[in-house]
Amino acid sequence: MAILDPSKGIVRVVFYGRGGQGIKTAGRILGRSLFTSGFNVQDFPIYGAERRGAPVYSYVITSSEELLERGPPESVDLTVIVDKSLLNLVNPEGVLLVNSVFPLENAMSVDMNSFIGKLGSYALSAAAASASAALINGIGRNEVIEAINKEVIANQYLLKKEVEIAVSVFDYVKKLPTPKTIGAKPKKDELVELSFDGPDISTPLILAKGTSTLRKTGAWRLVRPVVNLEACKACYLCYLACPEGVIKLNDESKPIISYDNCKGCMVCQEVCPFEAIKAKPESEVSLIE
Amino acid sequence: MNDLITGNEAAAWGARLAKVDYVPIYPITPQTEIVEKISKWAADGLINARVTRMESEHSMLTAAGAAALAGARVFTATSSQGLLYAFEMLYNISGWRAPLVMVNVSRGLASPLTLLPDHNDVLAARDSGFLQFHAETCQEALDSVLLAYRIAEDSRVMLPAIVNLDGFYLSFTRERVDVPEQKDVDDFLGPYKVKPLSKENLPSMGITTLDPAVYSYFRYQVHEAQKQAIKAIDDATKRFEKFFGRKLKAIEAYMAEDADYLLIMTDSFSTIGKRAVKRMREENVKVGLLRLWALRPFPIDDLVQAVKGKRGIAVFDQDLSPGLGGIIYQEIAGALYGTDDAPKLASFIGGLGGKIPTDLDFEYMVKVLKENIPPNEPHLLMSKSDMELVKKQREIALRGGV
Amino acid sequence: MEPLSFKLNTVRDTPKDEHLYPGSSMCAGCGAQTMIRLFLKVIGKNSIVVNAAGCMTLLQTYPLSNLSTGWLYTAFACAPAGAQGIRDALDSLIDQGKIPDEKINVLVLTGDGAAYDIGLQSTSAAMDRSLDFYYLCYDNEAYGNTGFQESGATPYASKTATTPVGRVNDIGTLKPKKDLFEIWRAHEPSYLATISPAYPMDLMKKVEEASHLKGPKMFIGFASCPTGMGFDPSLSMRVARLAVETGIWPLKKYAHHEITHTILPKFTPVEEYLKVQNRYSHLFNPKNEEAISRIKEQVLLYWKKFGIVPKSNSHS
Repeated sequence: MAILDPSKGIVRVVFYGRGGQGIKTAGRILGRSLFTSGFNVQDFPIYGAERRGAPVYSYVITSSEELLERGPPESVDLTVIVDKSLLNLVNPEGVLLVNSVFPLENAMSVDMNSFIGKLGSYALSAAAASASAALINGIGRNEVIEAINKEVIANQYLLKKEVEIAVSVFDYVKKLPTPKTIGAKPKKDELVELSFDGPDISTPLILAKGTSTLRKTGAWRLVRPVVNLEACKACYLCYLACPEGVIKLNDESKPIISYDNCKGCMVCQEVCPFEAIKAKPESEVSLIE
Repeated sequence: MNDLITGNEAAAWGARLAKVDYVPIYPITPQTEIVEKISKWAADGLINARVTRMESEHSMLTAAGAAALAGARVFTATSSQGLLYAFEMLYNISGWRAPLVMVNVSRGLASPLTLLPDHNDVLAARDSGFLQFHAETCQEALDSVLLAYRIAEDSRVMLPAIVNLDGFYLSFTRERVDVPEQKDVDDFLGPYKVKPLSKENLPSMGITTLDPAVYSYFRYQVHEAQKQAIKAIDDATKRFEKFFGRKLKAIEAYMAEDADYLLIMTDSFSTIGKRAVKRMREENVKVGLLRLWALRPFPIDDLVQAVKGKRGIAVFDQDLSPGLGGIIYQEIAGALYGTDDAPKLASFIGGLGGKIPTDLDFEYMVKVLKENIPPNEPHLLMSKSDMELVKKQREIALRGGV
Repeated sequence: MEPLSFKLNTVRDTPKDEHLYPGSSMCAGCGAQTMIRLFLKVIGKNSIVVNAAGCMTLLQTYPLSNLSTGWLYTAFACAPAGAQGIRDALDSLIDQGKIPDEKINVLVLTGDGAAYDIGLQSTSAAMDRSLDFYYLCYDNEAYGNTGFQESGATPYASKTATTPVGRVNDIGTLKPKKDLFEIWRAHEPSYLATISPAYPMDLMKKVEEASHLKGPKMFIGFASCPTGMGFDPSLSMRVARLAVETGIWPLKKYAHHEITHTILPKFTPVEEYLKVQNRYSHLFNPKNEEAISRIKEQVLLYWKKFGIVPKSNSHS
């Protein structure tokens, strides 16, 4: 059930996910599929200063007509959210496709994680790309397979696995009902005249301290460290090793972890000689919460 | 105090009278005399400034900028290749809004390597955000340093400044210079305003931004501050005249008022241009001269005003942008484009590598204006005897003899 | 610099104040960040960090600041020159009686690209001038911020983005790691040490020792780098520890004209260290005995110079 047609006009697709989830590759697979299907294509990733675990997005823009596009477009026709935790951070537009176990209102939910099974999260690229390809007129299964073989760097075994995943996702999405299209929110804006500001406020310097805590890096976490205070012997090792400084010590010199900014690197668990820190998947935590 | 001193020494006096706290140094001809003089004064206890020998101009300018942010009034000096070696720091320091003063003693850029002046070195810095003031005389070398501090440290501006003086023709040339009284300079300048770093004042400076809108805002504010510097120049030069009796302006107009034709020049060769103007006046040629003292901020309004009603303008560029032509010509053409009755413009390249302009050159410039010779191409001011010299040397170099 | 008011004997003496705030944009499991955090615990917030281009530049991205200290980003080549400017400015104002001496520390913070390559000249000159400053090089043995390309710090057989393994080259980096410790030592700094995030007490004691000395206080720290070196973030401290235990990363100090090794290696087989990192994966698939024994030889040769040899049963 292809619903987007690049032969009738421009189609813009965005993939949202986190570093390490193959978001850039997803864009490249879709881009290559469209390219070999004979469309004009641009694909490109956008990422900030942040690293692995931080939000990453990539765009694919396509049409059978000349593309007069550069950089992120003002609106999109298909939003693919590979990491569900980003749902709150983005404004979905057009057709919304989410990697989710649960059905969602106004969205297609595809449980990509169940398709990739035991493969690492990098394999989400093949799943996300083929899910989006299934929604675009003019791309066949073969173009997706060819694109995966060209764009994914992996050994023969993994490549074969990813192709299998892509084919099953492709066929699955083809059978799903058409979701409602979310209209782009009208953006009201106007140009302003920049005026002179005094050097005290127009110099790029930061006077406030510790504003980095506003960057909620806790959202990067896939698992969280949970301390068993009974088993803890107050040895300081996790406290000293923590790269983020999110571990404080209580009166008994035992660790208290602040989850707002803990990135879930799990160094604390690894250095603990007493197995007093356990890893708990965030999916379990949020289910309970 | 009046004395016979070089342009370099006059510039050093500017730093001394400004009671600078810090001077990072690195030698390069023809600037070295400035930092030698300052080093000697420091060794003799005549100045309180800390003088530190750095390992390159890049490091020298980094230390200068960092110190200016840390609360010290800073002076430094370089030239030519050294300025270019320090180049990335120019943009950093203007972004830091660190109001230091750096003298550039102009010298042509390699290759071929040379020692004599032209302005490709300092004009390469024109887009960096540094203020730029160009001295014509040794007196002006000193005065410009003092004015540069006053303008750079103006609370509306807070930008670093370059004072340019020509190598050899000013740097090593002795002229009568009036060295002002320390007390007057103290009153003229006032204390340095950047709050020193302390336990209570440790900001994060030189910050990264990956947001294009934020980058645009901060970078554009450097331009806004440059625009404010036009007012600051006006205030500072009036104040300067009150204190020291000498009049400096963003653009000096010489015999320009009733002139039909104008020459536009900068730096020390303007003096030769004035001599030519005077001589042509004796022959009843109604010609005058505009000298740009301030190149950044570029005094557009003053320029438009000064050329009103003129028939033609000849721009003498002691610089060359290969593939385009004269740099200052382009700036003037841009400033005058679309203004009512904009005069005819002609572009001339002269003085490269310190080649002295002659009467022949200036007469030719006026002739081009008078006879309306199409100014599509810049005219290189080169004489037959110049070309004979080139040919003779080329003959020796390529064939071993004439 | 202000002499510290505390003595570090046990972990319990670790200063509890944090000067590195959470919420950085660094990768999860960044070993460099652990080192910086511990380093700042010792020297305290009355410091200004002077930075050159590298991963840690992003500790400050407008309007977010990760540090309680001051900060100045300079450029890639010239952080020590920035430190010189700040130190000189403060000393000039102090000497003239314009400000009191508040013993503000100046800390240069750069990666190995700046320390080993583009900024070596300005570091040399700062030491030459006996600049009173700390220098912490977080060494992840490559240009990490640009995607792990070879630097002067990259060791033999490490694969990087610019020394990839291919049909013609099955080793990756062909040159040995530049010996920055010895290059710096030739300048006779007041204090010089290598550190590791996996040995926090050794790290903090060294910084504390250095804090009593005036002049250049130079540190080269092993920055375990999950993203560049290629291992799971949770293994960051294990990799750093293995680097020391195998003898690949000697922990030592140079003070009062003497080199002392502060932690002796166990001579754990180097394979244990190599095989957990993707940058060495080509050495095991199939096993490249020649390259691995060359790495072993380099390790043994180093320790032999100091008369330290493995016990026969633990031969690596």
